[in-house]
Amino acid sequence: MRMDINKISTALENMLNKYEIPETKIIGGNEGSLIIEHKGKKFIFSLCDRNFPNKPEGTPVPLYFWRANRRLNEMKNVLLTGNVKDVVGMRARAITPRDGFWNVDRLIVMVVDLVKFFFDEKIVTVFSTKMDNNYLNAIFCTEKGIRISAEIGEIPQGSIPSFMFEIIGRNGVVTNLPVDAQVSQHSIYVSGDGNVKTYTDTDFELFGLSQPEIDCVRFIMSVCSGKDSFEALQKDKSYINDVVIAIINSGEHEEKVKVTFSEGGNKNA
Amino acid sequence: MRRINVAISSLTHAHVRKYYSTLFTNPKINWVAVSCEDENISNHFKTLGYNVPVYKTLDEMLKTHPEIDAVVCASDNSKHLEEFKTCCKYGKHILSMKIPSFDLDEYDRMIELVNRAGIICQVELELHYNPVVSRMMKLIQEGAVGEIVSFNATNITLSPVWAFPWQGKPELSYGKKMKLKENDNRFRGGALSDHPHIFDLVRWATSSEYRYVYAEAGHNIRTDLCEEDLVYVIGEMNNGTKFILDPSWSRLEERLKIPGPGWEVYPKRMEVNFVIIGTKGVLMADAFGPNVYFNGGPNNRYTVQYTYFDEWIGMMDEFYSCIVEGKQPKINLEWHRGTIEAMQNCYRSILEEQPVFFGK
Repeated sequence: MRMDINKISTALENMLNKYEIPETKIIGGNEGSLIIEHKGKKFIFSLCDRNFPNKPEGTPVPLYFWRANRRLNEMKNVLLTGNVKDVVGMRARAITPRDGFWNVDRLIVMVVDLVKFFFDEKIVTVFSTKMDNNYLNAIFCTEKGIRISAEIGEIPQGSIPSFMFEIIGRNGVVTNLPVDAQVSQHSIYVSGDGNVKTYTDTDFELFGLSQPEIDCVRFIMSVCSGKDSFEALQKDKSYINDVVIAIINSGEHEEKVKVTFSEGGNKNA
Repeated sequence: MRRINVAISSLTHAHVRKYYSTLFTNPKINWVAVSCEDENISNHFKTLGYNVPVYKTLDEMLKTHPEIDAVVCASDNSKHLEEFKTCCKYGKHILSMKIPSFDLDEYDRMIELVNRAGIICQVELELHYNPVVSRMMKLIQEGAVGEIVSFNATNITLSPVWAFPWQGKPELSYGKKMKLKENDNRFRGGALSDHPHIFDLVRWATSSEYRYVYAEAGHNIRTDLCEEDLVYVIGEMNNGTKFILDPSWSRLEERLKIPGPGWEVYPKRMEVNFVIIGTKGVLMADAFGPNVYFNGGPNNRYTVQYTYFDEWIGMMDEFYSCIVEGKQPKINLEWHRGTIEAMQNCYRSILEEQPVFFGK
C-alpha cells in the first residue's frame, strides 16, 4: 500500500475547512511527509524512522497516525472505563510486508508508542532478539511492571499482515482480534471467479481512504486542533528513540537492557 | 489383533479424563484397572460408569493384575519417580504425563530405570497427534514458507489449579518449593510448568536445539496464587531461528472443583496458535479451531465449544504400536529431556533476569 499524499492532502484540506481549524493550511508534501503551516510556523509531519530526520524547512513532527485509529482508541477506552483493569500483560504483534506506510523501524516505533498510549507508562527494560530479516521478538517491562511480548517486523510480500494487540487485565482481556480467529475480519467479502475481494470501510466522512490514510488525516487534525500538543509529541519522540536504542543494544549484545532516558530525568532508570 | 492390557494410576492429573474415553473406546486396548489413593477422586470415578476396578495403590493393582502390560501414570508431577520405580519393578510399560520430572538428576534416574527394565516409556505430548499440527509440520518441511525466521506460539489456557489443586502447590507441580526470583513471594510450578508443548514443537519444527532462552514472569493475574501465571519467553535456536512463546494461564476461569460447562470465563479455554514467519511467507495455525459457538447455560456467556479434540487417539495408537512392535516412541524420555531443560532454563532466566545460554 503506497501512501497517497494527494489523497491525504485533499481529505485533510476538506476536514480543516469543515471544522474551521484556524490558521492552518497544507503547503506541501511528498511520500512519507506532509508540510503544514500552523499559526505561522511550518511543521513537517513525517512517518517515523529509527533516525528521525531534522529537516531545515520546518519543525519535524512524528506522524503517530495509529493513535487516531478508532479500534485502538476503543481498546484504550475499555481500559479507561475500568471494564478491563489491573493490567499485567500485553501481547503485541505487528507484522506486515514493507510498503509505503510500514517498514520495520516504523513498526517498532508504533509498538513502543502504543505501550504508553494504552497504559500511560514508560518502558523501562527491554530484552530483544537480534534483528534478522527485518524482524525481531522482544519483551518489554513498564514502570509498574506490565510485561509486553512483541513480535515485530517485515514479512514477505503477499503475506497477510497481522496487527494484534491483546491486553490482559486481572478481570479480563481486551483485544482487536476476534476470539477463535487468526486474522482480522473485513466488513465486506466479494467472491467470484475464484477471487475474493475484501473491503474494510470504517469512516464515512473519509470514505475511500485506506485505514492508515484515514488515521493520518485524523491524527493531523487532532494535533492542529490542539487535542494533542506539538511539544508533547517532541517529548514522546525523544522517549521512543531512547527505547529503540535500548532494543537495538539488547539485540546486539543479547542481554536485558535498562532504558537510558535522554531527557526528563530517570537516567539509567 | 493383539490387545494390550492397560491401567491408569492415581487419576489426579488434569489429562486423565481424556484417557478414560480413549482407553474405553480403543479396540486394541483392554482397560483393566485404575489405582487411586484419594477417596473423593475415587468416588467420583465410580460415578462415571466405566465399571473398572479401583485399587488404593499402584502396587496393589499391579500385584492383583499381573496381566497388565502398561500403565498410564496419571499422578501429580512429584509422584512420577515413585510410580516409575514401581512400574519398572513389575516390568510394565509406561505412558508418562507431560512432565516426568523437573529435577534433571531425577529425570536421568528415570531414564536409567526404564532402560534397565527394558520397557517402553512414552511421554504424552498430545499435540504431535493433532491434525493441524501435523499439517503445519508437513508444510514447514515442504518449504511452504521457506526458511523459518521466527517460530511464534501460544499455549495459553485457564488455570486448572482449582480443579486440580496439586498444580497450585509448588512442591507437587515443580517437585519442590523454589522461589521464582529474589524479593518475590511466588514459587516455580505454575503456568510454565503446565505447558511444555510449544517448547517441544519449536525443536521439531526447526530441527534444531536451543541456543538461548530469555523469560519474564509478569505480575500475577490471580493474586492469590503462589505460582507464576503470566510468562513470556523469547530466544534463539542453534540454527538462528528466533522464537517467542507464551505459556501463560491468561484465560480466566470459574473456580470449579470438577471441570465442566461454564468453566471458562474467557470464551475459549485454551489457545494453541502458531505464527511461523518464513523467508518466503507466513503460516498461521490454530491447533484447536474452527469450533462451535453458543451462549446460554450455565452462565449465559458467549462460549467457544471445542469441536476437534482427539489427539489422545493417535497417541494411544502409537503407544500400542511401540509396545507390540518393541519400537521407541517419537517422544521418549531421552528426546523430551531437551524440552524439560529448556523450561528449567526459563525459570533460571526469570531468576537471573538475563538470558540463559545452553551449555554454559
